[in-house]
Amino acid sequence: MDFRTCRSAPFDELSEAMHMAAVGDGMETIYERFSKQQPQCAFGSMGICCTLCTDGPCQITRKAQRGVCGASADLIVTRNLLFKCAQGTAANVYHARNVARTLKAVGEGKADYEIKDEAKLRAVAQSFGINANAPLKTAAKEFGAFFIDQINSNDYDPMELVRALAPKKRLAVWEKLGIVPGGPNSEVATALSKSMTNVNNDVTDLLLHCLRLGIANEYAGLFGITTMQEILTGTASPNEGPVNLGVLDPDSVNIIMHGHQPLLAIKVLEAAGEKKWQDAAKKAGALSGLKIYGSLCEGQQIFNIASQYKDVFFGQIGNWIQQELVIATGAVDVLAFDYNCVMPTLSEEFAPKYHTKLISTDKVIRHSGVERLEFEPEKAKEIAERIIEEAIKAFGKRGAVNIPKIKHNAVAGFTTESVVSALGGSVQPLIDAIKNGSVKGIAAIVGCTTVREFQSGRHIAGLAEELIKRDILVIGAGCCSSAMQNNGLMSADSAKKAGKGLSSVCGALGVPPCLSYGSCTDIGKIIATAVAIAEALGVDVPDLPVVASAPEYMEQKAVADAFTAVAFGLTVHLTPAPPILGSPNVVKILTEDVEGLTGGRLFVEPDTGKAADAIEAHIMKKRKALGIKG
Amino acid sequence: MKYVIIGASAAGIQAAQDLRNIDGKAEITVISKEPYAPYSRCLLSRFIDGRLPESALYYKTGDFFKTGGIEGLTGEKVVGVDRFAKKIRTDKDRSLAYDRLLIAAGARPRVPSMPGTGLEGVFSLHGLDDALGIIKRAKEVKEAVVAGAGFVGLEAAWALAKRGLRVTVVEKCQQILPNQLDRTAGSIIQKDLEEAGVNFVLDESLTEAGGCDAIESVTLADNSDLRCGLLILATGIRPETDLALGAGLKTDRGIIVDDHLRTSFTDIWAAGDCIEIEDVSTGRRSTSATWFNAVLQGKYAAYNMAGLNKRYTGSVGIQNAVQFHSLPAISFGKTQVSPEDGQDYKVLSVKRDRAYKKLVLKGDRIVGMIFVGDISRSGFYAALIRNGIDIKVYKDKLLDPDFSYAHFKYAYFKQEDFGQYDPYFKTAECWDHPEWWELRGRCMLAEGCK
Amino acid sequence: MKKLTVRAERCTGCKRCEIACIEEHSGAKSYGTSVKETPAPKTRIFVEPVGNRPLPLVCRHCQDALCVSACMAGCMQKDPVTGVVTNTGHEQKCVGCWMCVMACPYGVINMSLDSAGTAQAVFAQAVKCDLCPKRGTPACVEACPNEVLGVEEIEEGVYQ
Repeated sequence: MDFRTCRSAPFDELSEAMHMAAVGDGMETIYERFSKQQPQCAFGSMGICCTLCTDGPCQITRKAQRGVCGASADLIVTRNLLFKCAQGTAANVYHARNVARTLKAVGEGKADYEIKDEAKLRAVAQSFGINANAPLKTAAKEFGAFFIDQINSNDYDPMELVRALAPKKRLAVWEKLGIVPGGPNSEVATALSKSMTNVNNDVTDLLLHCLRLGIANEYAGLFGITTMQEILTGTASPNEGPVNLGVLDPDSVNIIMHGHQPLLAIKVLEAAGEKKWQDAAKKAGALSGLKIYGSLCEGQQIFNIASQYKDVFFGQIGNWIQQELVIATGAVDVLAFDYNCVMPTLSEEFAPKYHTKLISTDKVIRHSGVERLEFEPEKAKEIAERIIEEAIKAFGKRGAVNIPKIKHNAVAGFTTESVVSALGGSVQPLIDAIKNGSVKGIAAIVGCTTVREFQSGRHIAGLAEELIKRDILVIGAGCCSSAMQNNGLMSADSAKKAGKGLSSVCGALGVPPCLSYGSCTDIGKIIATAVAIAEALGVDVPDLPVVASAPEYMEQKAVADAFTAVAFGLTVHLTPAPPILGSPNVVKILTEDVEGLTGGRLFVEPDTGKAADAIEAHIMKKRKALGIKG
Repeated sequence: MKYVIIGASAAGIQAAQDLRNIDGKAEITVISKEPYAPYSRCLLSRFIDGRLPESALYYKTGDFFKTGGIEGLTGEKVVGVDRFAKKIRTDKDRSLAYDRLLIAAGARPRVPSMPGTGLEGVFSLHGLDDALGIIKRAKEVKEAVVAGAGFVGLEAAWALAKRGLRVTVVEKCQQILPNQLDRTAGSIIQKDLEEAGVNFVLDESLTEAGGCDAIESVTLADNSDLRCGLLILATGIRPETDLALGAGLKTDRGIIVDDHLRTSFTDIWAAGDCIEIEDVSTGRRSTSATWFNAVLQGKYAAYNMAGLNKRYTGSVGIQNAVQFHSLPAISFGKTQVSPEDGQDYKVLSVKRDRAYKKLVLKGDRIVGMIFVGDISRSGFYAALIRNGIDIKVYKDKLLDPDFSYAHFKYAYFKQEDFGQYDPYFKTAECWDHPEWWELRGRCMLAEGCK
Repeated sequence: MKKLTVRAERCTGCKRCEIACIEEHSGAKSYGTSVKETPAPKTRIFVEPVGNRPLPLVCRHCQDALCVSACMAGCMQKDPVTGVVTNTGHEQKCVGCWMCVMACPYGVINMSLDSAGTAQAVFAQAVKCDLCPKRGTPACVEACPNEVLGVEEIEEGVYQ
């Protein structure tokens, strides 16, 4: 995009229609706020602004090569980066603890959830010395408790989770580098201490600590989240469903579950299926009864298991950027949110204007003036029913309703297990396709959507479209999945947009060329898939013709996830440039030197075409090294 | 060389000043029928409402003529121009020869042909004499009516309201400022003025001014009456073409001039409110009654009279910057589109509360603008209109809050136009580079981007 | 004649120049208190975004300035010696008519009061760069941390 003519505006037509509607109602959306913030200060965006202490704020400028305390550009950049990585890791671990706590409560008989994936529970329990023949409830209780202990353990005791689950080759690399992490919260606390004023000035050490956090993020975060959630909610299975802002039904009571933690949403879905609530909704005037939708990563996760809730789940409504537009339809009766990625304007401007009742369901995401129904495993059903009650009450307060007319569908529900199942029980067919060239490689396009660099989904959708044309299979997760879903790249017939090889493979399997793995926490599952393929091929992860891409990453969990990917030896494409350009040394370490340490590295490319070229070039390089024909 | 200039307002005085700057030795005479030193008639309403003392009206310093060595004849009216003998005749029977003549005679207010316009207390608002009369009368009465909701009428109404009179504006169109604004902008400004105590009767006209010696009331077309002790007739102005007609020059509504401000006869130029010239925003000739146009025309007339062949382009008939009560508004160019105009026009607008911005596009160029409430950067848009700049690539961005001259960093004016200078001449090339996001670290903190 | 120069590639968009300009043209000379003055002083230099790139827009003190031609109060003048174009320091006072705002092709003339404040007794006036007559080096040039702004003696009529 030409920097002169680009505009802060949505990419898909439904978002643009709702954007215009919201602006017409006198609202200011993220697009207007982004314009008003321009130009954004480059000291900040290049990472050379430090606001830690009262001798600051300092910037590294032409006149000043050091901050007041003596910190150089390299140090300021790295401290800032470690801080963000710590935040992201802490957030994922927080989520994992919530799930573990629920699993434990289920095991103790205090919480009313089914164990939907017995085999998975037994398998994972066994890796940690929990008796294979113990009753399910015991396994649940003990594994949940064990996981919480791991979270709480000290950073000087390497985590059992890592020792037991890490691929052997990876563990060897990490042990050599001295980055096998201990308990993640302790790691985070150490990281915070390290990145304080006047503490650590060894840039390499700080970056290695980022990698430690990346590994902790995977095992004590993403792995825990996805494994334990799947045990309680069921594992993803392919299904087709409606997506984007047009999914809302004006004649039903509409509840949106928004955030990242689906355990409460499961209870809402279950309750919504009960006749008494459907009848209550109809009695309040909703001809179609009561409908539940998902938004953000929570929506992606529910979408993944939607086969179980076909009668009540009516679509994944959108990604982070679209949340204000969702409310502006005037058709959302309750938006229940748990952490994270909720804009302050939802409670401060949009909900008051458009009648929507907001409910916060996690103690970490309180909004002033918003009712709190904070999730506790023991009270899940009660809270779910309260949410439905509030929605039925709010239905009567609707004003004008403005829902875009265009509807479209997408296919979701992919993860390691369901992909393997679609392949007939093993990854071999996929490996064969890679070997014979009909699938050149795999690109995981994951993470957030951003309005930065005027993207708003353009870079994600554009890159995915370009890559599938080149026969590169795309796996999506998080808001990236939503961007691809909103632009027809995950629809049932989207295989025809792919190149010859990929479209024939996808056509044969009946899957789209862009597979949605679910939420951003399912990045952990993507890594698991990569590991599975590597082990099947007998190689290590860096050798695979695989690239990770976060083309529109926005927040701190993405920073942690990027370091996870690098620790696993993946080459990671990022846009926008992370705040490191102020230190050419750090740029060199993260884009070049680190490849020699872990096999992974970062590279930045804001141009869609050039990014596709770079990704393809990397994949072809790896193919050649594996001895696969071009 | 002997230059004679008829008229000592914006165009005439600017021409005199520039002629003197160009030619230090020439004889320059300025003749004005008003008995005052050069004053800014645009400031009269601020004088009426008391914001400015009379001294503030004189926009040139008192010694302007003396320092410039210019002969200033005030209080003397030119009654005839003999273009063959190259002589002008005044009402004091003075005969002045000229080598080059500039007619900057301005315009005169239109007086509606209805009974009663001769009554005491009935004024136009065009010159200082009118203003002094209005001030005196306003002290004696409580109610006033203003005929015409154009620029002058609203300024007068606002000034009188500030003086504490009860003011009603009667306008024959269905909106105020019908030549400059559209309905939306007009109603925003109208509300703003109503909040300040001005009353409006739209879609109405006056049929009669009634009273014995002095005005007591006016009658409207619907036969209702409005009591008033002061009536201001602000129903438009007419270019002063009598001299030109008498001299045999080509006129239409105004004196017709070309793009060097030349009239149809040699050695006679014209500038200011009295002329008619091609309007770049409509493509047709129009009168150009604004201070800014008059000054620029006076300048260019001077350049051309002095033999520096300079083409004057970019005259725009409708251009106003106005602020009555609390809202500023700027209108420039062709601000309204009607069905007869054809398909080529497009209107972009954005309205948020009382802030309204509208652009009229013809093809890939902006031809008109209205900004109400937020007038920042309006000069930039006006310049895009005046210079007919192609804005095709920016069409979607035009009304974005972050659109500014910065997008045209390399000057789109020729250096000669008004001698502006390019402050970016030291900027390195990398600022334009697509990969600047990567290069900026190097450029910003150290030398040597490539 | 003194003119401001800009090395745009060095600009970070930090806007310290805008803040320094506000401080210099305030009574209190301190940003924190300046913003509470009435009228709150406005900046006369503008760091505008082009997409996401910052570009400082400065007054060029044009040789044949359009704002001078447009001024109907006679207060906007170009000093024949210093070349500075300003509407302050002369016998004629600015009346806030906004003709200069409409005339400046670069859009660098500001209003001293936002429209919300203009119904008050104190009326708004046009404010523009005056090249800081009370200082040796203009405030913006001194405040810039990255040597973006400079001030140079440049002959008029002979430009790059």
